[in-house]
Amino acid sequence: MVIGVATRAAVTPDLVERAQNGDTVALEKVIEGLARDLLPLATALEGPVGSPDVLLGDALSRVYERIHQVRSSAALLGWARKILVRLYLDEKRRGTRHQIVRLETVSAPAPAADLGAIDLHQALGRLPRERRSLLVLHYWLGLTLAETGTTLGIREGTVKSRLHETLRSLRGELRP
Amino acid sequence: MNTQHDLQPQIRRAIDDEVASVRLKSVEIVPPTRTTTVATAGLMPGFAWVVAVVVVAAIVGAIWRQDAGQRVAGPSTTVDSSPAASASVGAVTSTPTISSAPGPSGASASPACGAVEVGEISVCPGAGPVGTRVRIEGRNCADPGAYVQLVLVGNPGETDGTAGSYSPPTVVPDATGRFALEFTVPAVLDTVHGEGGGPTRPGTYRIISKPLYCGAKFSVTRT
Repeated sequence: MVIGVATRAAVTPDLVERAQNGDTVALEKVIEGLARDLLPLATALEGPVGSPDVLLGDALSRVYERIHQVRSSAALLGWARKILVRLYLDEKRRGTRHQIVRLETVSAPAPAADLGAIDLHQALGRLPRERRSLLVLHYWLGLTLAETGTTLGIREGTVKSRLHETLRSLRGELRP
Repeated sequence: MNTQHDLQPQIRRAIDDEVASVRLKSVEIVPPTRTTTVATAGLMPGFAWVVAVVVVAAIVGAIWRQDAGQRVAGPSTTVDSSPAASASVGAVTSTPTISSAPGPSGASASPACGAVEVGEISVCPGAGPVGTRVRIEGRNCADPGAYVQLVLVGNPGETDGTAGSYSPPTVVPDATGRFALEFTVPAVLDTVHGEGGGPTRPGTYRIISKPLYCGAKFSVTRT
């Protein structure tokens, strides 16, 4: 069923409450709003050679199924973001669904003007998923160390040390 | 690029570049009991939002009208009445035909074709039994420069036929993004999301592109 495009309409507390009480129209609007909000994150995590549509679809399916679990509308985006990131890191999920819906060919990243930038794209593409998640959540999305840790399910100190380690390894790769 | 501080903005820019290079129009959601498609336009600038809203609203309206018609008429009346559907039934062939010649412009909504859900695609006929030769034409169903990957799918919890999938070969679109492909409805479907698979039973299926830029319905009938 097609339920429409993601609009700029806000996901209000009232909408979330109605969705949690079984109002499917409200639930679909919540899903639309989250699709718009989570799409850039799904794309940033998967990168240009991944399947952001599949990741986002999987995450929104979970949200659809478990909307009653979210504590409040204020917590909705963080909760949904956590679902999406955990799915991205889920080994079992990658082993099944991605076999069916993988992209045959994907256009390369936007061409960078200098070789250093191209190297960085390649280095980012080689990072393990957990390390890429750290960079995306903290440096790209702008979450604090604590928020990044909560999203990934690790302690703030661990976030800090792994970020440091990841940057060090990136610098090592990029050094001529 | 020698210190931690100057690497961080470069990481941000690199990820920004990657996000900007992917244009996603829709995603498929598979809730426990049904499938929902949410079209998104999160990465489209300015006026494209307005165009997308108008286009998709028209599609949604058409689908609602068609669905309403099917509910009134009952499922048995939605199949086999099309001359195109019965004429297209032939011997089962093993190899899909891929045409490099672009099809007619835009998606058609002829009664003989499947209801379009997303994008510019036509699936004709829109119904037929196993062995039916189906022609798919479309435009902009893949990222620029990418092959078009189509799937005939019955999603678990959604289809009244077999939960399963069949993937015709990928198609190379022409310079304007158009493509045409023919395939034969297979007697057996592969699994979908690790579930189902097996003999293709009568029911409602979808033919969609991966990523989900284009999609239309297709009904497998008994005869």
